Amino acid sequence: MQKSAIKILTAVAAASMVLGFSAGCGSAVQNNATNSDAQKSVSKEVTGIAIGNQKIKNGGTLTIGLSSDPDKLDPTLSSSLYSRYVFQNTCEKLYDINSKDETVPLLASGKPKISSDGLTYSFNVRKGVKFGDGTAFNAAAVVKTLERDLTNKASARKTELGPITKVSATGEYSVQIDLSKPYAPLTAVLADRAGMIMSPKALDSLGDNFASAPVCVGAYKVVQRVPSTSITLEKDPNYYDAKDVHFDKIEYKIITDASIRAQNLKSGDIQVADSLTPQDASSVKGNSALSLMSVLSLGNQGIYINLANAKGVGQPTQQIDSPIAKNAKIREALDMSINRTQLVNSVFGGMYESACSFISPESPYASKASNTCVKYDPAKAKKLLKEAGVTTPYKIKVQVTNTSLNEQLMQAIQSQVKAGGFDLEIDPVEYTTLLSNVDQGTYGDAAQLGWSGRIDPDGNVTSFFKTGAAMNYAGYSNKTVDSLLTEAASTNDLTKRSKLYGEASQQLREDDPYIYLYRMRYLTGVSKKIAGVYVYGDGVLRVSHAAFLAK
Amino acid sequence: MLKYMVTRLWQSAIAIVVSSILVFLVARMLPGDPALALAGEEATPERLAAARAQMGLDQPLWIQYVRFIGRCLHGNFGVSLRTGSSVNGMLATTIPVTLELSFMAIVLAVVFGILLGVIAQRYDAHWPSWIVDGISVAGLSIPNFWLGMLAIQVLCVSLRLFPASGYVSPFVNVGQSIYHLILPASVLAFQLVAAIARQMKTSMKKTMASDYITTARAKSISPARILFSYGIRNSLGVVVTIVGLQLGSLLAGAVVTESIFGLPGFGKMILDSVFSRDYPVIQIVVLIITVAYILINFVVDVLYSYLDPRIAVGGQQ
Repeated sequence: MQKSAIKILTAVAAASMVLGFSAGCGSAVQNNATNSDAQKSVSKEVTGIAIGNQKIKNGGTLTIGLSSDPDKLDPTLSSSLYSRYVFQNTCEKLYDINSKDETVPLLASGKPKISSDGLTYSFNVRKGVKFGDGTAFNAAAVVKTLERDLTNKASARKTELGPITKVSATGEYSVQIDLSKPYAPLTAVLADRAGMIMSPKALDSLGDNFASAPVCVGAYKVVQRVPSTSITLEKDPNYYDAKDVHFDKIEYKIITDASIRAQNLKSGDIQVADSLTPQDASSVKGNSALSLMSVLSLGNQGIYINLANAKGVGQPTQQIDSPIAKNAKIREALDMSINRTQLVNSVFGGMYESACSFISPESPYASKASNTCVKYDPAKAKKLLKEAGVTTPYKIKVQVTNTSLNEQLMQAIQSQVKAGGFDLEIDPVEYTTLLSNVDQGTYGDAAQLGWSGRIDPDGNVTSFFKTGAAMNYAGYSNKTVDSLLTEAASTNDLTKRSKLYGEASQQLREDDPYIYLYRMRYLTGVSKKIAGVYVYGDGVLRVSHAAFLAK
Repeated sequence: MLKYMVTRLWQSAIAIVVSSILVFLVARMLPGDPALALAGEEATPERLAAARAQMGLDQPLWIQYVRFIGRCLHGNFGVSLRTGSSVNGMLATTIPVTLELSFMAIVLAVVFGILLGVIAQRYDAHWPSWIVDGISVAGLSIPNFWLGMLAIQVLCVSLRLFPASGYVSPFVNVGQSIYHLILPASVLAFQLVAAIARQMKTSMKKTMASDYITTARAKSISPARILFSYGIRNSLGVVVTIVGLQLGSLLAGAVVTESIFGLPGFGKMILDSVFSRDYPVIQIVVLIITVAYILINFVVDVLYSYLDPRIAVGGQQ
């Protein structure tokens, strides 16, 4: 009796915590005391929970709470980042990344040999590997996949594969890729969806409907998919490393609400939950049955200032007629009115990091120049505004996605930039609407958006800030930056590239078309009943070799 | 009578065609499109153009509309632009979930609503009645989503009495199916319980004060028989009316409840399709709801005119 009374008491206490959370939504900035503790405890990255010497048992079903329903399970056509979570188990890539965000061979048997002019990549692929349908994996399959990625009308891979002119099989297990100009990001690109090799037999029979019954090389294969609800995988006996694959099945349950996902993890309905909010992450950390993994994202979040995107990206730019668009001093003033450290501590419980450039400090390409931030100095910001000759408080309207966390962030920024002489108005809009607005250039003064990040720095900058680039939402154009980015993408020398990207980030900081705010962490909750789970800088959850621990 | 029905049928058909055009246009008036929603942050112009061409969104609107109607007439609702799965298949899996959830919620609401209403009347002006009044106020004012979150936190996470999410079809395992749905159904039913209890109490008060109850008492009929056979039975009309009126808001509640409990139902499908601008799915779900309302109205109108011959097409009789 007493036991159940205690249980009920705990339940009531927990319930009042829920109450507290919902009541505290509007006042994120005041949570400093508890949050600094959280910061201390999650300062280091936890990229994996290794099996190590622990005893494991084979079999069972792993249930994962996934935050978003992937789109088509077709590596060529897929646009959603979440499809990679499933592909990690079902569709292996030529290269993968490791915990240090370096590329390592997976289906390829070694690093690519790059010719001295940078125009030819050649590599060998693993022998004795079979696709899920039992057919042999070889160089011809690689060629067929890459050709599909390059030529399919609806391919989402074409742009990222860059200046490829020809893909050919030079032997049964050797592949050669010819380029029209040097393209350093290629290996990293082959460590993402473009490097996932599909079964030629399945491609022949299914064509554009490959997603209806996808077949690749993988530890598991897709057996059932209920849209918006679940994806079920089953162990693939044809997998080359099948003896180290332990679950019978993996089920992805689509649970889009972050707190519900955390609740399901705590109740034991699921064993893994991705993309936890910092709030839920700290409660997972305090739960003795769960562990928290936290990995710094390669992407970033920031505020685009509309400089010259008047008619939409892809159209000729046209200077926006407003002081902040015309005068870099005002943008610099806004930049230095933001106290990033306080921001990540108060809004994200210290679990995220402040960001000042497109290169993560964890990246091998990080340099002193890329890690430098504009110093927080509201007094100087006011002075800059005065020099710019605008009346203060300077009014600026920022569009932001209408999720509670994003609105909290903007509210915190709103109160910070007041001291710097800004009167910031928050304009919350639904996510797809915001995407449409930045795409069309109809977002007014500014918009808060971000980027999930790519392994190669080129993927985190060129599309956004090169003149006329596909996602240049600010309408930014600077010849120095253009040539730095072109040069950096055409050399394979890490030191040289790092220096060039450092210079580019310095120039971007001066021009401020985009005010970098923070870098998120992928926060993943994992039940202590399982081990062998990893998350690296690309955010993808790796569970292909995970297992239940023996009791 | 026949002429009346034909006229009403004809009007219903026009209403359906007009609403299909409206739904088609309104879905396209949402900012952004499925290509953009799908590409998300990776929305490069080439990719958007390719996706739009693949989805047939580069065609003129009237061609897209004619194709949509043509498919509907063949009973083929097309494929989801997001996942590529057939909309017919999606409907076949989601509608039963929502029907089961709503059915359980209505049963729970009717049983508990009547019970609480009767108790409140029986012990009027005493503590049981106050508790029921409290529950009614709470039920009418606590939002569905919050109650759901609270229920998960307390009953699923802390006490581990129920699963926090998931669905099992009753055709696979009836017990498991009820076990998975009982909590979401209760949450969904709460508001309806409150409404029924309140109305039932008032209605019971009126009934129990009427002359025939006094007469029954005078004839020394047992109090239990008076309560059940005369009191409750004659107060039930109001329950039927409320349940009828609340069917619409029950569906709205299902959208929220299904999202919180991760149930693969029709409500969740509506929400997901709107957020991902999945035109074919939005069009069909809204059209199905419209057709259902029009049909219900049609049946009700026909019933009325059957019950009351004075209602007929203007001036015919």
